[in-house]
Amino acid sequence: MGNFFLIMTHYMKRMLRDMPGLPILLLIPVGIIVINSLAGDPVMLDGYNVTASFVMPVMMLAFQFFNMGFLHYVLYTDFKGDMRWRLRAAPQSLTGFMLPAFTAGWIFSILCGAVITLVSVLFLNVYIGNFLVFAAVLVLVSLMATFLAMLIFLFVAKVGTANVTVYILSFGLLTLSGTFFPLGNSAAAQFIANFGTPLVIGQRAIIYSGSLNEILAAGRGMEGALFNIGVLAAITAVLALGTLLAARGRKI
Amino acid sequence: MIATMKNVVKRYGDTLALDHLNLNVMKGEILGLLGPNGAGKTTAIRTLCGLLDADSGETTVLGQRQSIQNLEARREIGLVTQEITVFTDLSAAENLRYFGGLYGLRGAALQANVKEMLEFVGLSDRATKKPGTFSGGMQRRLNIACALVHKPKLVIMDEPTVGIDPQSRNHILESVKEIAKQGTTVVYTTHYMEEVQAICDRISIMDAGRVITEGTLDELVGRIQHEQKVHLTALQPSEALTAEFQAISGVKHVAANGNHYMITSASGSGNVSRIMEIAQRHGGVTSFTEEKPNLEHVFLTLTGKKLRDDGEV
Repeated sequence: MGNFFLIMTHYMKRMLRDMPGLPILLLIPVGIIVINSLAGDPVMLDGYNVTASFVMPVMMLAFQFFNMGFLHYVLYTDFKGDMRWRLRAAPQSLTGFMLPAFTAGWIFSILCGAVITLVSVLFLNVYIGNFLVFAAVLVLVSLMATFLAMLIFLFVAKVGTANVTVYILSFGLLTLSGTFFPLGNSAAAQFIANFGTPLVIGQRAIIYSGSLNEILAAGRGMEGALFNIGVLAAITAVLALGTLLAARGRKI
Repeated sequence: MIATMKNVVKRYGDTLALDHLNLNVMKGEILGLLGPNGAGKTTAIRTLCGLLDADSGETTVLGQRQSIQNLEARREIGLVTQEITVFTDLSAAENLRYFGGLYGLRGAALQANVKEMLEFVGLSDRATKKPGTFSGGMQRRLNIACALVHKPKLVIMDEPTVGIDPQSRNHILESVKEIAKQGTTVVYTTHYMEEVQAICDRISIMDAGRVITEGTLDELVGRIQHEQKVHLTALQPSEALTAEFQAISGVKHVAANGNHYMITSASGSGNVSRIMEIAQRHGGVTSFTEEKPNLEHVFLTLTGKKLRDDGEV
């Protein structure tokens, strides 16, 4: 593990230099939040833009999944292309490469989420509730997305197919969150809209944790926020276990 | 010996890539591993590097049994891949720092080695530039530097000059000679026999997954029976000159084209001086060369194949 920091910073550096991908994947969610915050007559409560406050968590968390593409780019280049021979010739186990790469992907994802949030809070009057709850949601969903990225890497041979998979998953999550169109009033649709994706589970946790909680069902408060964090943690744990089992059984 | 491969067998499905391969690498030498495409050279060197586990047989490097699991054995090996494997999103210096770091170099020692390698491959003025801005030859040189930055005892170069200009190729060949002078053992694979002839101390010729012959260039050439060919340009060509050449004992064929003659003799006939004497008596020559057998002839004699094609002759 002596090279852990070396390899982790190596992957962070390469992901942060991904141009123009990185600015695009930061500007798009901010742009969507801006458009939503300005559309119609913005509803303001206690100085916060309520519309933007609901849109921002969903967008910011959705782009944790879109960001899987950055990690895929370095993993596929290094371990499914010609570079794999040079790297495998080094005195470093595959696990010794994968763990720091995973950590770099996770931290990178958190940083991207933090930048989107900072811009939204400073310039768009977005409310993020209790900071610790917000941080827990961001960290857990980033981790979830990174495990999912690793699973895709383990099972999908080509980077092009992996990118398509990422887009299908990410747009699928946004659709099931009711972003593009209402899901309807049936019990199933309401369940999905409220609990069906990590995006809305995280969004609700953030909203429940602070003063904007009155907008939704009263009384959920911090208890509701913690419950939702628990759900996110459980999903992440399942993905973590799945990834570990898959990594043992798959040959890279 | 710095590395050995004994009776190594490696299969990919139904394809036998290594067929009881036996290969020895002496310390300090430049060993040329020559063979056509599909001979098993790349599989052999990947097994030597511990990138592949053989199905049977034994590979040892620097006294250790080589395998995928043995990471320590890799510390003293440098691999120059056939494809250019450098990070295009990092500068030349950053590439070297990363690869040096992977082999345990840190701090001042790493910086010193990076600087030395950039100078060695002639890229000091490009240290902060990314490989995407380099020519093909420069990328190849960086490719080599990344394998040498940790000063390995054994360097394996898998066709390091593919697709580059002659000037860059010569630079690389000179670099290989230089690192060998500094005590590094080099295994150099190629299917260009002129490269092997230029730099290698010893040559192993591979075909169909095994070494078919090995030795120095002179030893290999001496093992084959080869026709002797003399090319000369006569100042006063004539039918009498042609007839005298044909009358020499051991001459198989005389081809005359204007004032250019090609005289083919049996191997070992020693006719060179006799041919020169006759040519001088008939007015002299403006050029006189003896066509010597080379590795291509050795390979062709032993296998019936050419080095640079896969097909049969």
